[in-house]
Amino acid sequence: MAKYGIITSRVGGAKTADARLLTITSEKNMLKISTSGGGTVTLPSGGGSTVTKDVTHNLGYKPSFCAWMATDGKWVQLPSVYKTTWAVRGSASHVNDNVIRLTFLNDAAYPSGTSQEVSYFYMIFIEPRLDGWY
Amino acid sequence: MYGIKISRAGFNVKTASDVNLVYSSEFKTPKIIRVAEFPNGSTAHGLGYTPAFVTYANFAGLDYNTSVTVDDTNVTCCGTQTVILFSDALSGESTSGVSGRGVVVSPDGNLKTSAVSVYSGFDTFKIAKTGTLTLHVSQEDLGTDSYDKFPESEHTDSLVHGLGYKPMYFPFVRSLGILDIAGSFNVNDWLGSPSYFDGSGGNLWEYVNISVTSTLLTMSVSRGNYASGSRIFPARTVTLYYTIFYNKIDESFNAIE
Repeated sequence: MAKYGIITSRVGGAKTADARLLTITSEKNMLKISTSGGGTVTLPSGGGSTVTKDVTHNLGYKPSFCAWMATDGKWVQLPSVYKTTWAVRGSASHVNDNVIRLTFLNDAAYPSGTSQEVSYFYMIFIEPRLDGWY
Repeated sequence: MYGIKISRAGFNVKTASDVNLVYSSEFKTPKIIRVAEFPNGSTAHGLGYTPAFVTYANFAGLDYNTSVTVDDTNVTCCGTQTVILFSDALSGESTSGVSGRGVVVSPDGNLKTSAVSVYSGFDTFKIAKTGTLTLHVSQEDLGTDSYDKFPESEHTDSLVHGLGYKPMYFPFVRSLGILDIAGSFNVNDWLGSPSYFDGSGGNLWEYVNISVTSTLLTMSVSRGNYASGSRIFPARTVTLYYTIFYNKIDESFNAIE
């Protein structure tokens, strides 16, 4: 263990606790949020309509990220690809090293569905998706 | 300028790029406020706002993510599911603040549970290992099946992670429908294909599953053709860039008890 740093644990003594029990530690790389935010998009009525939302992070590499979406205040984690009772699907992808795209689809199984107000939220991390250090 | 900044070993904290920092008060960390197995149905989470969350579903399949929904009152599960709740909000804001002894950082002085940058009473994601899993899947003509085998073909690649327990991993994904993705691809690039998952009324499918045990992180590609006529599935190379955390999936934790 290094002579200097910060270490806090949620169970037992911080100096001897297993890494999984540490809440803050300068000994391990902790996931850090570069950008987070959210908003709403409106999906046109009719099955198969899509709306995309591009999020520019300008990190210059493809970062780790996660995203969620909601209709009627009920949030699900993306990708939300298929469910017989869920009228909107959502996915996410890297467009390039600086942009992440969220895509929402009005499910083809609901062709007569009305337009949908979809809320979304994302967290983009400092840590790259490939070979982050540890 | 005020704050805390810690660099990884061997890097000067004053000049290190953000990616070489262990921690910086300039950035928030996703803070785990609760890890629990939630039963089938709705369970009140008691936070008063909608928290960000992650689920590692207890079953594979394309509807795994919608098996857990969260609003400002409840966590609702289809079946029993392990859910990790963050103090960070998807919607709304905490009305209570952090309390008790500990280390807390909040750049703007807001000590609400959902607003702090880091707090020693909440858990953080700590990276244990990163790397790549790769699957080379050959072209297959699976023909028509009589539902006697499920799936009809399965290909796997695994990593021995060496932690001795079920760790949390990234990307936060369990299954992906890939039938509509042409050729080789990277799982991290495609967190879900938004198009219809099989195009054939549920009788034709191909998807990636990611699972973890106390010894292995496994990626598999499974395929099935239960429609009439033959179906040629393409040759693919499927790549996963994984990040494994020290955090344990199946260890209950509740910072607000």
